[in-house]
Amino acid sequence: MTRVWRVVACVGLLAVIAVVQRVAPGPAEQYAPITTAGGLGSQVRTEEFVVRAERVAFARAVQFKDELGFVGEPMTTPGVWMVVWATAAATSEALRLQGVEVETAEGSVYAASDALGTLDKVELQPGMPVHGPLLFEVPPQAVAGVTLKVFTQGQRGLRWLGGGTSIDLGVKGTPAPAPALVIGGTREL
Amino acid sequence: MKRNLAFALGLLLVLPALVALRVLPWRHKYEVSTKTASEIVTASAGRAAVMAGMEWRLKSITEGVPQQGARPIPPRTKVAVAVYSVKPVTAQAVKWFDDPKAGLACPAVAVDGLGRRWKATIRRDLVPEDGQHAYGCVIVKDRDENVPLPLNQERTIRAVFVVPQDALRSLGLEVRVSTWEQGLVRLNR
Repeated sequence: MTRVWRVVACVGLLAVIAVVQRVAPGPAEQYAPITTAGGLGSQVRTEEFVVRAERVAFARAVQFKDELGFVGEPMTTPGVWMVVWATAAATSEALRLQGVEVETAEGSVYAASDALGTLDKVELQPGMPVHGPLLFEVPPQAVAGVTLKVFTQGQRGLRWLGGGTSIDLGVKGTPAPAPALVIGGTREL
Repeated sequence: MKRNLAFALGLLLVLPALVALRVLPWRHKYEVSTKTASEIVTASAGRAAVMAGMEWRLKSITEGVPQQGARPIPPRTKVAVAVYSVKPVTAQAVKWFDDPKAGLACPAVAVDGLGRRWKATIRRDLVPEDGQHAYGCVIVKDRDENVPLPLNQERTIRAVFVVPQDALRSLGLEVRVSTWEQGLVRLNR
């Protein structure tokens, strides 16, 4: 009888080990950024920065307007431009928002455009909020339920336990993009 | 029994020694590459701090008035002008200042009472040059020659910061002293 119980205990322990190994988070999950969720218009605070996404617009082409009022050449895209106006500030040390991307409801991820003049190109200082656009090229049929992800590290593998946001931009259905949109650059508030 | 005890004691000594031999060089490399301070020295108001044979002292932090014609600073911010000094008090420290290959660097950041940090601005249009202070602890004379700093002679350094107006009152300095080790000097007001 004792031997039977020993075998049962061993099998039980093996089963527990198998379950634990299956459900235990892998290194990618253990070291994933600590993400704070929020919505459009809400202030999302992480350990390293504060960001508030304020407005979203879609356009077939965008043009940047500089501080002197000069409007640049139109930039086109095979999809649509999604412009997210946001305000951000560093919490305790200067930093840049990096790895800025949007994730669709289906899980596709689109990185922010490398166009200059956007919020992710400026160095943010503690206590000095900066307002500006974030620019994405996205397929118009996939933007319903899109979320804005902001990190301080561009490389996914290096975002270990850093701050991050997941902001629901409140986009529903397929947007009707404007033919063209003139957007100003960043400004300190 | 005695033999086993000796073996156990030997293991107790040898194992930590082997671990230390492997870890310590890496720890130094880690500290250098991540600029982690291995030593932190704090000086209270009016006192000097000694780090790597150098005496560091905060002289003053005053509000600067932006020059006429200077590009405006962000709203609700102030210009802070910090003057601090360094004095080599050991013969080894003198070598750090004289040898360009030694690679001595000591950038200062402003830190307020909330722990927020700001790097010095590189803008030269904010406050007028007074010609009395250096811009860094090392003054490069030529590519292969520094302006020497003799033993017990003081060099004053000026750093200009743009900080939120609520930070000005509690502002202090942090000087990162990079010799072959990474040190941090906190100079409080």
